[in-house]
Amino acid sequence: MTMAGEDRVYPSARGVGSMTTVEAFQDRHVGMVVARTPLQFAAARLRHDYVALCSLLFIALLVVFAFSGPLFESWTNHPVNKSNSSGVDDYTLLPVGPLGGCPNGLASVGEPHCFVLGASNSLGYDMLVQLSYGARTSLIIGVVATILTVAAALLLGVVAGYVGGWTDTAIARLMDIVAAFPFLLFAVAASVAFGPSLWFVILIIAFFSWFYPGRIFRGEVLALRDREFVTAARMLGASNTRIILRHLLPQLIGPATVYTSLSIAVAIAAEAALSYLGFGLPLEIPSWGRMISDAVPGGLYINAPFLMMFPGTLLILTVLAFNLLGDGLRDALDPRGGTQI
Amino acid sequence: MVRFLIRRILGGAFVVLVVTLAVFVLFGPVLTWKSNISPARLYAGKNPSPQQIERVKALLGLDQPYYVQYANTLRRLVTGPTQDERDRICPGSTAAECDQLLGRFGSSFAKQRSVDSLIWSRFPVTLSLAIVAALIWMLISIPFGVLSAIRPRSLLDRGSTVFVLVGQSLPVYYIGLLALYFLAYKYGLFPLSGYENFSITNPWPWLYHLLLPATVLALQFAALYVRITRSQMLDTLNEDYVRTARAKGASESRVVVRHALRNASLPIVTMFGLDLGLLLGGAILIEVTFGLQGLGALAVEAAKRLDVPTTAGIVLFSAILIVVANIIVDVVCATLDPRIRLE
Repeated sequence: MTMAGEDRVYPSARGVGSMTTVEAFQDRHVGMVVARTPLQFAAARLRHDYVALCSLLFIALLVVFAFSGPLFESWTNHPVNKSNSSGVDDYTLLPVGPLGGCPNGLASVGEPHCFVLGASNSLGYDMLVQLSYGARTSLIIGVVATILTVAAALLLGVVAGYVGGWTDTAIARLMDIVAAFPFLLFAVAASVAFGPSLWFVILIIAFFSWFYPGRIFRGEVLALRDREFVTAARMLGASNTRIILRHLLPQLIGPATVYTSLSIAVAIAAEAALSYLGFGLPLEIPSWGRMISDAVPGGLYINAPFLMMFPGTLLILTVLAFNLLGDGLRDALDPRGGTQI
Repeated sequence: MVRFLIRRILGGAFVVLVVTLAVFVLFGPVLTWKSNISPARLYAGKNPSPQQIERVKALLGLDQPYYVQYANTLRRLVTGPTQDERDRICPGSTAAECDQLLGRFGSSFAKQRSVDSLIWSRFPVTLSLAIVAALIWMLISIPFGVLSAIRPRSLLDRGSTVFVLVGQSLPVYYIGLLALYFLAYKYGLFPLSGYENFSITNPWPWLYHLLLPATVLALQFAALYVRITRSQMLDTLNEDYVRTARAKGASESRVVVRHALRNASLPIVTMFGLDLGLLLGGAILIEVTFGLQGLGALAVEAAKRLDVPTTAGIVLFSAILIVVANIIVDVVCATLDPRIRLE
């Protein structure tokens, strides 16, 4: 899987304003000279990156939406994964009206058995409830798979870069091999053997994503390994473990933050694609990908395109938000972008 | 060059070996242990008696220890089925009939056919899709990448940056469904599904059926390649030889196309070879969405029916395909750039 935001040549082409660091700083602290840590610089740059801020806001709203599942259930009186016969056409089980089966539109929300966003598929699920639980699934898989991905990438990338020699060659070749093979085909095959489960999806996504940040971390460590501060630490008698933990790892916090955001986007997209094909997650776990595929059989989406448009749009926005946030973080954390805010 | 080639081929053979081992472990021990499914039961049909299962086990060689089974699988993959296997699986039939039933990748559980013949019947569809998609994404990405490198920070450049960011976030299957709904259903510009065979006398029906799926598949890659072309072009445009060419009075188009683009194209070719795997992955989603009967659709179909040999065969086949493509790309690059050989 590839991540967005590869080989950016200059920091930003979107509206970051033309102020330099110094100007904007003087703007707020006239006549003062205050020392600032790199983190404060990064935060200052991020504060002026409106695209990244909007992404962050969207992600925050999504988290709230994902946690509101039980609230929506009690509000609409439609439990998750349950067919609701009222408010739907008797034959097709599609919602009546453009957005749902509420007789008086949104005004009658709160009355029991009233659909809010329509049924999620021909089964007559409530779309709002399914979307909310699907958001929860996406976020859980995105975050857990990313933790595993970044941890594996840090471990193998740092070991490869620091130890060098045949260890490095072996790990680098492994990265090339994993990178060359199609995730979806292998995940479909593996899901036949392992059967559907949440952990299977998380592990298979992590297994096919760690190589990308791993390559980046390896490159960083290769460049850092021979720098003076590492040589100085070694001369003072620091052990390899201490050099890696105290001197090298802090340098990797920046790229690790960026790739955390980018791999959440990759993991969410991968889960949705796998669920769209009908593999990976068990049926009782709601998923946006499956909601899209549920809208397909028998040309259902032709009569009711909303069935796929709600989960599809939400999926695009979520993946885009994590990608844009990662891109913004890269610009903010890159010390070479120091002249721009 | 010969040494380089031998090293690459040996490396590729090793990768294929690792993949065969992974696939074997996955569909042998792991399948039996995790899902409590034994391949012999699947082959024997519905509600088999224990005697039937034992007979199938003997027939397929599944009663032997795992390492013997793996050695047999490998040997069959390299040399094709032996006479002994032919006699067991298809007794009393001619060699041509038997080839329909048993091949290098084994025989399908769901259909009375060899996995090889299934793969070869579906492969042209996937290949056509990949070729048309690759043509479309090159036609989009190279002009846009070059133009935005010539005029950095122009409106076009900013537009293509946005296209790159958005393009990589789009799920191809959802875009495919939207395209089907709006372009095929509402406005009737394209067929809703299906595939026509390629013919040299009239390639239009073939292209017409592939145009929409291939364009959707190409969008994601086009986004990535605009970015790569742009950064490569920015690098080469700053080279001394480009300045020299300009100083000699070469026209701007000649400088850009003959001097800069030609040198920038090498990493693009390398990327192209590496992305073949991604293309096959994307092809699964596109084939399922657009109802194309290609390899990806076959893999999904087989996996849903627990047709283990077919699923394993497609995985192995695509692994071999990817390895071979990577070797070809390496050789092409080594021919173009002698420095790579010495590495």
